[in-house]
Parts: sequence; C-alpha cells; structure tokens
Amino acid sequence: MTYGSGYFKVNYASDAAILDTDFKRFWFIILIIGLLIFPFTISIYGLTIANLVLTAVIVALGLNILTGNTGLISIGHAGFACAGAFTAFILGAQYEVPFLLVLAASALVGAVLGTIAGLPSLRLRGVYLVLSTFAMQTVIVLGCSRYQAAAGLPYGAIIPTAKLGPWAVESELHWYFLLLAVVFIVTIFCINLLRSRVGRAFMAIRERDVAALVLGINIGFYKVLAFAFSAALASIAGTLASYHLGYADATEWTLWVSVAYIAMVIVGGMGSVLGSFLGAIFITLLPYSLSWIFGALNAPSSWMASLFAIQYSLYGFFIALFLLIEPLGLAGIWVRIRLFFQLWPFKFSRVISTTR
Amino acid sequence: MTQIFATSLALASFYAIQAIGFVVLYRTSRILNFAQGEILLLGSYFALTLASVFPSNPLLVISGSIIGVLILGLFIYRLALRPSLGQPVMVPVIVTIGLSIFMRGIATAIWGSDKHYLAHLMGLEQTVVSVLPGAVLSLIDLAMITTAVVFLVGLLLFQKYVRTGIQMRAAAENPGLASYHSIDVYRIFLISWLIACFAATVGGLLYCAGRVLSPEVGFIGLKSFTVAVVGGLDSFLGVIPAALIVGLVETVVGRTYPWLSEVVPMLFLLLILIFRPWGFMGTKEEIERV
Repeated sequence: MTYGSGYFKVNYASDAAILDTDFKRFWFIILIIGLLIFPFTISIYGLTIANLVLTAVIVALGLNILTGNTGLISIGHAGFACAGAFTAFILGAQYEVPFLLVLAASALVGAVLGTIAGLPSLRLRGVYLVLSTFAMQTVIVLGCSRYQAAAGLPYGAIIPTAKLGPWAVESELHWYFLLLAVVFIVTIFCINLLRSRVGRAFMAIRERDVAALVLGINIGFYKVLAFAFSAALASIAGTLASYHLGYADATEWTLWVSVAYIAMVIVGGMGSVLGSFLGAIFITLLPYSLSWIFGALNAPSSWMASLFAIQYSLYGFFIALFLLIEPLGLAGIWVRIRLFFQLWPFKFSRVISTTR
Repeated sequence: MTQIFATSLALASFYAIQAIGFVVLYRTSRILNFAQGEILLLGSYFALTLASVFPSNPLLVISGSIIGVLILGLFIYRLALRPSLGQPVMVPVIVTIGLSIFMRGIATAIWGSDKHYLAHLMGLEQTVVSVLPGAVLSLIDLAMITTAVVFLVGLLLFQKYVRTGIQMRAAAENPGLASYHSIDVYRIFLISWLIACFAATVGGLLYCAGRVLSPEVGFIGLKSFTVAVVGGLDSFLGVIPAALIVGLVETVVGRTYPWLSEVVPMLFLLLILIFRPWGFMGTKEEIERV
C-alpha cells in the first residue's frame, strides 16, 4: 500500500496496527457510530434483513478464507451451517444447554465435520475435491432431516430463546448487537489470521502447493486447518441463525444455499475480507431488492411467483459474470475507484497496490 | 426378481447416457459440467412447449427440442465456456455451477414449477412389453436401453474411425501437442460440448417421458454425474459397469427404503472418492495427486 504523503512507519507498533493512519481511524470511528445508530433508524423488517446479512457475513468470511485464500472450493457450506443449526436443536432445545456452550459446541462440531470434509483434500485436488464437499453436504443434510423426521418434527424444530447469562436475547435489536459483536470479533480474527504465519501459509498453498511444500509448509495440515476453521465459522453462523429465527429445519439448507455462499465470495472478491462483507450484503439483499423493484414497477403477480427462480438465475448470472469479467469482485472495483481518486489527476502511480 | 433387473437396466441406461456426456466433455476439456442436469431440463421443457403446439407428433417434438438445445449449447459455449478456458481449473467448474442455477431459475420462471406428463402430451402410449419371463418394461424404457447401447457403440466407433473422432482422442491425450499438429482444439471442445448437450437432451426426454417433468428433474444431472466418477471420468468403458451397479443398487434400495434411493449415488461418490478416486477404469495418473 502506498501513501501519497510523507507517511513513514517508524516503529513496530505502527507497522502492526490495522488502522495505521489517522484518516483510517477517523473513518473507522464514523463507521462504528453509524453501525450503532443504524438499527434505530430502520423498521423491524429492515433490522431482520440486517441480521440475516450479519449471519451471512460470518459464513462468507469463513468460506473466503477457504476459497479465496487457500484456493479450495467447497460447495458444502450449507451442510456445515445445517450441522450448526442441529447442534442448536439437539443441545439447545432437547438438552437445554446454555446458549454460549451450544455456540462453543457448534464450533467444535463444525471443526470436526470440516476436518472430515477436508481429509480428501490430502489426496484430491480441483474438481474431485468439489465433488467430495458436495457429497458431504448431501450426507449431512440427509442425516439431519432423518433425525428431524425421527424426532417427529418434519417441518422443523423450535429453538428456545438465547440467553447470555441473565439477559435474554429476544428482540431483533438485541440480535443486531449480538451479531454485530460476533461479526466484529470474527473480522478482527480473520484479518489477523491472514497477516500471520497461518494465513501466509494458506496463500502460499493457493498460489502453488509444490512451491509451498518446498518453503517448508505442511500442506496437508494447513489445508485441513482451513477446512476446519471455515466449517466452524459456518457452523457457528448456522447456530446463530437458528437461534435468531427460532427454529431449525434441515430442509432449508439446500445446495442452493451453498451456491449462494459461493456467490458471496466470488461476487464480493476472493481473498478479501472486505469482499466477504460486500458479497454477503449484495447477495443477501438481492432477493429483497428484487421484490422491492417488482413492487415498485407494479409487476404482475406471476412475476412475483417466479421471484425465487429469477433470484437464483441472477445468482448464477453474477457468479459467471464476475468470474469472467471481474475476478477480483466488488472489492476489486472498490480498490479501483479508490485508486482513481487517490491518483487523480494522474492515471497511474509508480507502485500499483493490490487488493487487500 | 427379474423385474428388478429389468427396471435397473432401464435406469442404468439413462445413467450411462448422461455419464457418457460427462466423460466426452471431461476428456477433451477437463471441465466437469455441473449444468448437464439443467440442459436436460431445458431440453425437456422445449419438448413440452413443442408438444403443446404440435400434439401427437413425437418425432417432430424430439428432433425440434434437440435442435433447440444444440443452438442453446452454441450460445452457452460462446458466452460462458470459451472465455473460461485457459483460466485456473476451478473457473470453468464454477461457471458451470453458475450456469446450472441460472438455467434452473430461467426454466422455473418460464414454465413454472408444476408437474407435467410429457408422454401423454407427445401422444406416446405407455405400452408395456414383457421382455423376460416375469419382467415387463415400457416401450420408453426399451427405447432408453437401445439408445444407450447405440450411443455408446456409435461414439466408440466415431472416435476410432472418423477423422474428427481421432482428433478428439488426440486432444484428450494432450491438447497442446494436438494443437501443434494443427488440430483446432477449440473446435474439438465445441463438438464434445454439443455431444454432451445431445446426450443430456436425448436421455432427458426419454427419462421425463417415462416419468413426470418438473424443475426437480434437474437434480438428476448431479446424480448421474456420480456414475461418471464411479466409472472413471476419462473412461468410456467404465461407464457400463458403473451405471449397472449404481442403477441396480438404487433400484434395490429404493424398493425397501424409498428415502434412501436419492442418496445412493452420493454414497457411491463418497466411497469411490475415498478409496479409488480414479474410478473403475479411469487412468490413475489422471487424478492430480497432492
């Protein structure tokens, strides 16, 4: 990253800081204030959507580390989220374990399942790995729906209200702040992970695994670690989503949900934390903005009926479009816009900065 | 007992047709086509529309929908597949995933999610013929079995004797070397893509004619895809045992546990990926070992 002015890093603390300039610190504070005021300015409906976005961000962050940074594709992340939802159902609803313990347990369940799904990555590469995650997704969702049917709840199970110690997380507003806190922690964790030895190992594997091996990176360990971490995040998101919505239903976590998660990563920008946010926001808001547009256009009701279909065809369209035309995703577009203003009135700087 | 064999043979033939489509494409381009099921779906919906315009004219309907799908395939090739060639190996695969949900969405948006009975609309009777002592098959199932055999044998002969077929084998072996010998690899890729589209449509029409047509049918692409993997993604002959085994097990299991029959191919997929990822008859070196 280059800076236009004479800004130099003179000590390790300023080199390690995430927010390294006053400019960034100022806008970060503005962002935090904005996020804290935001829920009081919108309706309950908008707040619910915001919460869905926040849960999607958690999955997207995890999947982006796996796909964008380590270079392993998974089309099984809805399966891991489903496993998280069922941890909430079995532990939270059936055994009445406290919420925080359920959350920890679901991270563990996700990590274990992610490890199992990641094991084929020791032997397989490329398309074969995609297949194994796809099979994993099918098996997990099938297992959960059989369990659900055996428990006599074909249409989903009720999940009790989450309790953080003495406080019950009931309203959408409570959930907003809880999810915001979780997203904040996960984001900081991901940023730091990517700056650490582990993150660099991930990226070395993505670029060329043989070269990474020569550099002394234990490829198998880091690949499985990426899978476990990413699946754990998806599982946590699944638990949070089912507590938030108040029910868990295995049949909701279809292959399409997995594809939507991949769409978030690709549309947002592979390998970029900012991209996970942009992608999750874009993909989650897409159906709502579609129905809003249809409503504004006074579209015939037959269009409304095929809303779901149009939404999914748009997911597919955007995946293909971004992969072929803008592989860096929305984050790449953002970097280009920023560079334009940074360099204005010139077109190029001597050092071209890349996405972060 | 013989009935089970007869039924599973019909199912296996369907799987074989689809798996050949996957194998043809994979051999020349190393692309796993996740959109095969959706091409099948669109082909069947074309037939549905044609059948409602020209009722009781099965030949016209079938040839019309095949031509429709081939034209669609040309567009898909030009707009999505050709630009994604030569990029990292994941790009074309994700593009086909994107294409698959795109086409599924379009199909649902245009034709709705109702169930349709194609055979009835095309004016085909569900005539039942006794094939073996104690086993009956419908004419459509028989057509399926015949098509599978003709298709496989025809493709093998094509690849052995016809100039383009030999070029296809060369391109499958080593695309770079093939292009040095003035073989247009892109043309070969286009041809194999069109063969895959053709396989999807023919198999899909016969499949949907025997059963119901709804957007859910698209999932059959993912199921039959496992047959290609079980047989070995780069082997034509491996398709036969794989299709027979998967079809038989699915039929047998489906009789006792109907809910399990949907997952049988998936379980096969997991097992084969763990123990023998190159499939029954695929090349072992084909798997990029880590």
